[in-house]
Amino acid sequence: MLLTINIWKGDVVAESDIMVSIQHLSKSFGETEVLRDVNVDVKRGEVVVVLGPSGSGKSTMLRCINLLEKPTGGHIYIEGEEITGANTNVDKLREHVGMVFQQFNLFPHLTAKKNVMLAQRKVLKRSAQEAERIAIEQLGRVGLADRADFLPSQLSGGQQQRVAIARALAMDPHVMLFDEATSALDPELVRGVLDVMRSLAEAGMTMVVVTHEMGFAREVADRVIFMEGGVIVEEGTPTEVFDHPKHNRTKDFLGHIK
Amino acid sequence: MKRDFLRKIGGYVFAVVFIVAGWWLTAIVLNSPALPTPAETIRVLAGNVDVLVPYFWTSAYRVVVSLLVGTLLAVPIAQVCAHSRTLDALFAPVLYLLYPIPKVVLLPILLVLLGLADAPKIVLISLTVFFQVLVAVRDAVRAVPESAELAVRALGGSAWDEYRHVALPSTLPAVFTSLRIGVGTAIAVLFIAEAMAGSTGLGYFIMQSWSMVNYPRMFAGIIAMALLGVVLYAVFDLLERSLARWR
Ligand SMILES: Nc1ncnc2c1ncn2[C@@H]1O[C@H](COP(=O)(O)OP(=O)(O)OP(=O)(O)O)[C@@H](O)[C@H]1O
Ligand SMILES: [Mg+2]
Repeated sequence: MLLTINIWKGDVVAESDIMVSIQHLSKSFGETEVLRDVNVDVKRGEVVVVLGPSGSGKSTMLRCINLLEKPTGGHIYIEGEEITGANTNVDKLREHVGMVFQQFNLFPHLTAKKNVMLAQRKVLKRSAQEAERIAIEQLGRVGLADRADFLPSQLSGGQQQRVAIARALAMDPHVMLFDEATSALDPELVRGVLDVMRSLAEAGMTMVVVTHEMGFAREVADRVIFMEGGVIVEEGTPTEVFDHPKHNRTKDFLGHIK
Repeated sequence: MKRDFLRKIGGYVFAVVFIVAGWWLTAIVLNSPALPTPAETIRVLAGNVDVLVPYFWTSAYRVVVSLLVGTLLAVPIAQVCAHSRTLDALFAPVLYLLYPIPKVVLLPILLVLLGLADAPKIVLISLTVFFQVLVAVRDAVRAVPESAELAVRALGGSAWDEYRHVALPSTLPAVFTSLRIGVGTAIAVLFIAEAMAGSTGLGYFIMQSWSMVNYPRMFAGIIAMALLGVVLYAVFDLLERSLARWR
């Protein structure tokens, strides 16, 4: 079916299957070049895990995808639309790209439910009723239906991070970016957050995940990208990258991690 | 909930009984006109209310205005300092040197420059409050992770949303904590300023009664000043709790 359409309309349909396309992306902070000629295509429903040592530019790459950082060169397309052009509607773009950080960054004075409702109300202009319904639905999805009325300070780190995920999901993102979402958590709390991310992946969410959790990468990733010094050194399926790395730098890195 | 409340009230009742009993005992043991017993004090307070009230309001007005002025100046400057590395690099050493100076030593200068009425007192107390709030708020803003702002923007929020929903709720508790802690210093500075110059306010009332050897009247003034401190402390404590429930 897809093939026939492909023959018919050529590249157009093939591209619509690509959720995020990063082409020749470069980024400098003043004199320091942090990303150099990065090329990544993320297909709809694909889970891409990004690995790399500290300072390799993983966060910067993620932040370029929703323009939290402005690229200094190259092009980024989301669902076929260029976001690096002069007249990108940044607000519209951010509605479709959800992001979760290492720090949970919940609004400290609002309950879990209100945290999930706020941006729905302010940014998407949803009614209070609808926002609440969706908040409860998303909190249920991350296993926190019974914590809806708790303040962040009454939740564990892992629970707070799951609220942060629910908050991002409530905006109906087409792609989710995770920047070391479990790095600030105590080891026993990592599991719950990874489980939520795994179930998201299974539900078909397109995801770009920066993580040091090799088990997660191996099991959940469709593709693994290894970055160092602002360039992509190696990429492939988890088996290719973990079991048969081609580059010495990848081998070194995986050796260190193990 | 109700039990907690009762326990709290019980605690305060006990505290009052404890303090009054201690005071009574001390007064009896010392047996000095400088420290009247609680009963005597209440009698004198009741007798002097009419005289005391204007002095009380003058002092209250000065300290409240100063707390407001100091805070309103400190909060925006603290936010700017915490957000701009360049400004903070310029300002931090200045702050470091000025913060520990007891501002009250500037009183004589202010008296020369601003006269004997409200102005020098308000400036002096504002200055004291300003530094306390500035340091507290700057540190509170710094404690907000850098990604908090990014998280708000990633959700489609603006810089104002970040301020309104992250910076403000994260720093407001610090404002009230520093004010609550600062009340004691503010009243102390007020007392010194009023005692040294002018003929208004509780500080003047106390020292004037002292020089007239009217100890009960002096003590009534002291009680009034203590009351001012307790009331302000309680107000900030309440604000801190109601606005900062989430901590
Ligand atoms: N705002 C900035 N100004 C200047 N340099 C920056 C800025 N942000 C990042 N950098 C630099 O860019 C490089 C890449 O940073 P980035 O945060 O993307 O790395 P990372 O791979 O996410 O590292 P980590 O694993 O430690 O999070 C680092 O050398 C960092 O110092
Ligand atoms: Mg990073």
